[in-house]
Amino acid sequence: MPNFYRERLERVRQAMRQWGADWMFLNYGADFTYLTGITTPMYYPILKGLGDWITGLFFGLDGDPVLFLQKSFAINVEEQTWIQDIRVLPDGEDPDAFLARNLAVFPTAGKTIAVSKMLWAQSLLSLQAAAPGARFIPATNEMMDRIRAIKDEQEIRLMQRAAEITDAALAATVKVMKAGMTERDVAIEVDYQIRRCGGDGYSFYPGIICVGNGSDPQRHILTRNTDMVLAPGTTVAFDFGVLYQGYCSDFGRSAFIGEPQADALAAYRSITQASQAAMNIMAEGQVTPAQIADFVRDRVTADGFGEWYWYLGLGHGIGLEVHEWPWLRPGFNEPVRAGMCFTLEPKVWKPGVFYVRCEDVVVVGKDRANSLTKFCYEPIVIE
Amino acid sequence: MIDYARRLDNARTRMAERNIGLMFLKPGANLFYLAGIRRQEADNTDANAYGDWVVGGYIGLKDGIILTAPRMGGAFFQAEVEDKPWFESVRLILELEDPEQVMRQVISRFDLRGKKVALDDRAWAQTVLAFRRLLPDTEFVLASAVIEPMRMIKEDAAIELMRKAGQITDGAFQRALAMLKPGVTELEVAREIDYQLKLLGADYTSFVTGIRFTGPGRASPSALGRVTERRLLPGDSVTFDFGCVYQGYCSDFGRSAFVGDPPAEYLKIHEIVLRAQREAMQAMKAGQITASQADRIARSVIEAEGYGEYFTHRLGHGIGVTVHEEPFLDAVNQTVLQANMTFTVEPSIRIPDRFSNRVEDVVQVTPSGAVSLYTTDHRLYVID
Repeated sequence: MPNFYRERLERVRQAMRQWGADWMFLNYGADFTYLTGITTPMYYPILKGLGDWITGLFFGLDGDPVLFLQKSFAINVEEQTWIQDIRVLPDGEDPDAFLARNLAVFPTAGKTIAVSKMLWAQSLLSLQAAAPGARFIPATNEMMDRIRAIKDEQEIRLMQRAAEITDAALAATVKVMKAGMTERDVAIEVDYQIRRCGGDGYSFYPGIICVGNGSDPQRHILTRNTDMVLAPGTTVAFDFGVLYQGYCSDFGRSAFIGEPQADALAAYRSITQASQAAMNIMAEGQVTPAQIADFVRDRVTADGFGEWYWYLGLGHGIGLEVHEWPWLRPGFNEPVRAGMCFTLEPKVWKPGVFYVRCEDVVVVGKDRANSLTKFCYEPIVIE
Repeated sequence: MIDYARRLDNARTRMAERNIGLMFLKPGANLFYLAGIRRQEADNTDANAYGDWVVGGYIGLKDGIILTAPRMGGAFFQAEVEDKPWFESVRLILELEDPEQVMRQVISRFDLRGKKVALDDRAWAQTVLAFRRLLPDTEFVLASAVIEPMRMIKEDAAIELMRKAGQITDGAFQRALAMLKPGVTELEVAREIDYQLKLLGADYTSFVTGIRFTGPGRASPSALGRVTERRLLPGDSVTFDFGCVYQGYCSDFGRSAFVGDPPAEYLKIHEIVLRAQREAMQAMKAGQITASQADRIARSVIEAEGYGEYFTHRLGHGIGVTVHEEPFLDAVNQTVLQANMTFTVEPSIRIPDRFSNRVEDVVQVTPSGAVSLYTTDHRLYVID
């Protein structure tokens, strides 16, 4: 197994020392995947059964991490992770007693244990009983943000693959898109194509937004996938992402049904050009997230679409989670670093008339950012 | 119509009995069950909205419900409470505030002297630790003590919603059956089911749709139901395992099909599985049997025929606003079944590389046994 995981573990241990944590306990989620290589089982959010709350990764400032698993999560787990010390809850043993006896050998009294921000209350109470005399702190976003913000080589490869699948899913969807389909029809097609093209699933449910041809100006762009029919003269915005081995993409383009309106076309040209120009300035240490957001807004405003630009932010960090620190918007003033992955997602929305968006996942490099998603920026015209 | 005011009243009585002054429920099943805040379509990732770790419903004995919400995505919560007079207010958390201060302000609205605080079982650790900081002398308990027993017994209105979810499920199933021809992939069938469920009015699926084609000599994929691009061949057995959510209530359904002339042994297996389900359901009389006894009855039928080792999971589980909930029809659960509990009853016989057969209904416990909420025929669906 590669030593990416060992390096990540050392980075986390550094943060633990900084934050005064002696031990860490993580349940399934982004930090867990980051350190173990195990992606969240699809049944985890809905699984409810005896002992499910003891599942987690436990480690200190040195030594080998320990993986506690309920039986149904232990199937084939050795193939999925570099972790050697795997302890499965035996049939018939009380889950709380299992955790207590396993934790008893580690010196936790008077020490601080950091736990996943989203660790279940039930798990926390069990841990507190299993490690009496320990103090508990959450492994907050602030503790973990900066570690996961810089992606290593393996992560970039996985995000690249997620991006390829994303491009392919859109291409396949566009092939079958027709006027007369509804927003929901298209969303379901995207969901299917994501899996057909090799994704594990969507990173968030695909969003399709059709505007124009007399559509309701009150309808917000956050309302998606309705029964609205794709009619000539409308714009159709895509907002979807792929989940691949735990890593996310978040992506978009706009399609035009029939002959595109001149205004909508021009707005699309503006945002796609501004996005590409932004990648040119996203060099390590040279620019802050706030500046990147301003740069794109200024360009689109200069092109005449300032009034309809939506609106403050440009995008966000992305990796094992769809939304990660830092955000590309005012207030985020630390210069970007190589290996950071962002979405660039400018949008122009004229309610009732048109809505165009494009979105790419880009990686910051020494001299510029490069896009992982490569779908062309030409307007997609659907007859 | 679900009577939320009544549920809240009931919950507050139970809180008072347990000396609980405040109950915190994060957006999720319990908050939906008690107060009607709908759950949004499942993401595989979390959204990291600012202040998300103090977001939820704060329910007091007399005061509340105060609902905190992140600014990003807050409009959803504001819209949700519009027709719900049992909410006192929605408090958005803005990026310039300290979320813990928001929590402090909200908590200060409740009289907690000498009282305990109940926390959602799956509330986040970051939330729990903040509560402990703000209320260092308070005893904390899990909210399941209050809510779980309530959720176990379904009102007639809830059963109706589960019946309706079953109708939608049946509609999708019939369409899926029509697709079963040699050459179709598991993924194509799953996609059609997911599409039809939405078209027929479901909120979304209740879990990842599972379609499995099993055939002689073909290695089965590993457990837990991920669909593949395996193509249907003559001689395959097909098992369905899927469900939907309708107005917050779940279905969970299964049937079996066979492509071509089923061999005698497979017909026998199908009959055994159905008999196991039927006998368990007949025995599931309110007040007269425990969950583990029900599991034993079905398992005995299968074991007596020599297939015990191929029935590798529990008989079923409670179901309602979540697809898996207490009580569980497993080998150890001692809960005595009561009227209007709802369960899946899902025996199966799965012989790797040869046959798979399963059936699954959601049933309602009555004094004279359990009755299915679903009308789909239990026969083996033979595909020519």
